[in-house]
Amino acid sequence: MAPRLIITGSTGYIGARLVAMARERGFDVVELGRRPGATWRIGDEPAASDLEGGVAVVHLAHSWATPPEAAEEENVNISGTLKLAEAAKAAGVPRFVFASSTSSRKVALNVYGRTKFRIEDHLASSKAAPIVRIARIGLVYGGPRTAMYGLMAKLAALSPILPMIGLSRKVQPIHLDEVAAGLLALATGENQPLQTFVLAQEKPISFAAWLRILRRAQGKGNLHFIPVPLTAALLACRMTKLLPLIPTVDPERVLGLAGAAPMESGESLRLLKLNLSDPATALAGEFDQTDEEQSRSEAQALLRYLGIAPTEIQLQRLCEGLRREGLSPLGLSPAMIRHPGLLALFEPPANRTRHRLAQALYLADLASEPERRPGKKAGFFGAILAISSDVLLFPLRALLAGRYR
Amino acid sequence: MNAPDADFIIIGSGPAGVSAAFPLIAAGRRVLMLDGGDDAGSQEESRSVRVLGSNLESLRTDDGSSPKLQTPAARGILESFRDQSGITGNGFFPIGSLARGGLSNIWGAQISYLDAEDIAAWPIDIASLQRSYEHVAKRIGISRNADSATGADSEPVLPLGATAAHVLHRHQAAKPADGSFRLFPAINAILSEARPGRAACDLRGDCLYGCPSGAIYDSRQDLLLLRKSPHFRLLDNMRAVSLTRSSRWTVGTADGSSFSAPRIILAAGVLGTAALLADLLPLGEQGLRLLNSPTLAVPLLCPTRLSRSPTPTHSLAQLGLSLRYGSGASDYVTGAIYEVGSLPAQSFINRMPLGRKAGRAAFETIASSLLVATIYYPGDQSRSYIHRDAAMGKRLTVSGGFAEGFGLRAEALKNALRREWKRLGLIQLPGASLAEPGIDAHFAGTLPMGATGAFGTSSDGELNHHPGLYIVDGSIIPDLSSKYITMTIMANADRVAHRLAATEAKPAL
Repeated sequence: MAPRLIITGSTGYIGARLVAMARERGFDVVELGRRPGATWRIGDEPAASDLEGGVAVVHLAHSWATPPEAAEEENVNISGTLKLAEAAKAAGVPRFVFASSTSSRKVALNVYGRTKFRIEDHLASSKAAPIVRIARIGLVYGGPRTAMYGLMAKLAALSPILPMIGLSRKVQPIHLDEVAAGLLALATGENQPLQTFVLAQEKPISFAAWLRILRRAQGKGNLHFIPVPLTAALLACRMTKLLPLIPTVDPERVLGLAGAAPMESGESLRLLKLNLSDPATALAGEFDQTDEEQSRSEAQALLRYLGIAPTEIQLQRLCEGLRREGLSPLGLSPAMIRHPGLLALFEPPANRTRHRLAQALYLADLASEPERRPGKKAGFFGAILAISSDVLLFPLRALLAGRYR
Repeated sequence: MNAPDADFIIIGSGPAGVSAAFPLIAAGRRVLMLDGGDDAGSQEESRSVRVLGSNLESLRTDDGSSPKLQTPAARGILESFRDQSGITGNGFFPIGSLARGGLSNIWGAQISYLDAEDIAAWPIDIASLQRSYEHVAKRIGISRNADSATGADSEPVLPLGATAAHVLHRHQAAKPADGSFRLFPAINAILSEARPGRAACDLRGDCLYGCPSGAIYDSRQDLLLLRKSPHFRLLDNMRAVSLTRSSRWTVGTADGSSFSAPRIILAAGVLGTAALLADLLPLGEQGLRLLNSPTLAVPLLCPTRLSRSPTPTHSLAQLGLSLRYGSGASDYVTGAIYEVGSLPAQSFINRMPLGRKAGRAAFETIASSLLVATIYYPGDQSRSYIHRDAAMGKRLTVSGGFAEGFGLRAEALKNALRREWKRLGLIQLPGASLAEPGIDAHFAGTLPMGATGAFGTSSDGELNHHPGLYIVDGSIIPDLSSKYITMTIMANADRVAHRLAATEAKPAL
């Protein structure tokens, strides 16, 4: 009988990783959240059947949907978390792990930090207190480039000059895998002396240094900043509200970036037996690997587009050829990689040999040459079809060809 | 003074060098051959390596040159010469090779024979050349293309491609009465029957990537035979760089070794030989006259063969042609017709204004109806010179050009060709191009036999004023007709070597 672990917010950036890791380690995972059939939202009463027999609840879900004018004490995250913790206690679950943040402060700049602090506070004085463990999580990085991490990675790679706020504030990065491992340790650990744990790098680094690490890991050069005062950034946020056609930026996010003082994490890490890796090294490996995967799936897409069912040797050849020509990665979107036929919209004529996509397709054609069967060819009508659709697509391509130039 | 290293030192392992070696060792002379290359890469079997190169060097973008020169095989053969010979071109593409077997690794393997009229000005008689033609032909193995519909007599044949056969039929149905235009199945140095160490042509049409079966002749095959003789020694990676004479000749090589013999035979190719002799020849302002064949490539469409399937054949020349288009002695060209369907598709697709998929579909639809004709003018239509590069010390520059009035000739020829294409039911496609001088690699006449003065050789190829220094490559061919010259260079080397073997040189002990 596999131990049961209840996870909320299981579809999020941390949640998805935690679920995968827990399943890998043989847990029977119950996901509370946006799953089909039984949607649970924070504030809902959880079904007792979901909780019974669980070794722990890990509560990651956080609702951002609070009306701005609502009093902070009314925040659904507070009542919802208490409701869930007490239900867990009542169902006899021995541990309730709450995902808080290193920005959790009574007087944090943003609502998020203040709310996290309030929840910690309420949990400590609630009926569920004996089973509660607080995990204050630092700046999480690594894995899929989504959430805040994805945004920062993109920003850092954008250009060598970046206007930014809160450059001197300290951040404490921690890798997604390490967070998941820490949360699992908390969920299964017996009799821990602490109630509040800090999952974050021991040595804080400045936010500016962090962005530089993110940029370098992606094989780009140095990064220079234009410091932006917080007031100016907030003013800009307000402008986005007033101006039409511009996506609105929530001041909450900006305030989050302005940040808070670092927290001591050494003891927590020792207790949870977490040995954090150096972010620069971890990221370098990760970006390389994902580039390799990207390059491979791109090579596959190029070959499939040309109507070749790629063999391993052809893929290797093509990856190598693309790398040598400096064409890897081309930057094909995931949709293109799934549906290589879409390349037809972007492909320039083959005689535009200086065009990156034309070059890449030439290499793909050549890389498959040695295994090509002589005499196997399209029928006359197939050829007419291919040529006429090519001609029909021409105006569209002229518009779109700049995409992969 | 040490004993000489051999009776004869042959510099170069190409077709001329091996043709000169056979008669000498048959006569018991000791021969040392210095080869600028080695036998690396000669045993490559996988098609992947032949198409893409052993470290995928083909996965570079198409540089726009002829598909023939873009294959890894061709690059490997040409590159070391380009990097090390110190010969640069000015309006001229200097082609030479330091590889084992030289340019025979990538030659078109076409065989033409000169007749008495062609060599009227040479100091030799046709009978001796014909004897040597026979020696060489027997050694290298030659097949004529044949239309399967016509019963072949006893000569070895290879099947003509269907499109070429179709064109040949059209020609035979309506030949021009005056014989000004001739079209015939090409004769190539390709085996149609296996020989020891060489398989017969398997008709896979992979010729441009280097023949995997050894059916196409190259002189590396002859080196294997030569090395069985105790009189023959071959040294690898010995690029000759200097020639000096005291009591006998000494050859210095790039790695600092030196070898001496009473007689030296230069077979390094026209440009290689010129580079070696740069210090011995008074190369002044004028420089050294070099003959090359201006070359025209004409794409042709045979509409009746559209979207038919190609038939298996080799991808070298299918048909030979000759055309007399005027009354002047030089108003004469020869050429060959190739089937495009057997050539690498990419080099054509890369020139189409279509997407790659549509380009391939288009190519596959029309490839079997496409032909390319290459037309060679006689060498007297070129004006190319080898100069010593004053600024660069020993280095040579080849400047390329065309004879005066060449433009008019070209016009007359193009009109005559148009007439013939029309008669054959072929449509000339746009894109006919005159190759840059040098690309043809038909070089001759720098040190012609029978010429007097410093830039001439005797009828035995001995360089004037330099006794004991013989030349057997294209340098000594006095004039360059428009016919393929390789067979003649080989035969002439064989002829010279027979004469040398017969002279009473005391074999070195």
